[in-house]
Amino acid sequence: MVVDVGVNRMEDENGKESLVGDVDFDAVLPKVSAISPVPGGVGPMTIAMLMVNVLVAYEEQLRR
Amino acid sequence: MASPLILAGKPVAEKFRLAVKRRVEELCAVGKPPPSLNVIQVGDDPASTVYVRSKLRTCRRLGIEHKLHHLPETTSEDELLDLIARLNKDSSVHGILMQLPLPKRMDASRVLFAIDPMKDVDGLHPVNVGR
Repeated sequence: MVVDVGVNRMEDENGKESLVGDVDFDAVLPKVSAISPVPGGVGPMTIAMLMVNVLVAYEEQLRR
Repeated sequence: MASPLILAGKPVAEKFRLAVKRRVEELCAVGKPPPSLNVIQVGDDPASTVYVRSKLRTCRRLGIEHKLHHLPETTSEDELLDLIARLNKDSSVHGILMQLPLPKRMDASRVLFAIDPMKDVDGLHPVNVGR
């Protein structure tokens, strides 16, 4: 199982840039039972959970 | 072997964001002040700038108050600690996020330790790490 937290910029032969993780997604796909894509895997979750944490901290502070 | 499970964060993140937005609206509807996140960035690391912008934009979409304290690369550790102390005391600030990396000359663990664990929304304070 792969949870890929890497963020790397890669340029293809046409000079087009794209974001890739640390793991070669297509190459390992046949060998894994689960894998997070880059982009659209861990990245969006980090910000969403930050927002959850802000809300939790806020509600705890309101109760004090 | 069964085809691998793709751990798509995007739709899950969307669900969490929506839940936060609804809760903030609920709280504001009963007259509570909105939650507030303060982000501190030291210097101009390009990746940090992208991440910070994305965090602030998400706050805006969810109705979370947000403020960026963008300090110059030359800021001293004491100045940074002073700012953190001020935000710790400010009851209108609920979350403090120290955008990493800090300039190499700074002691990052000392800086992170200075954040009130109650306001440590990144979970990097020793009291919160591992929870």
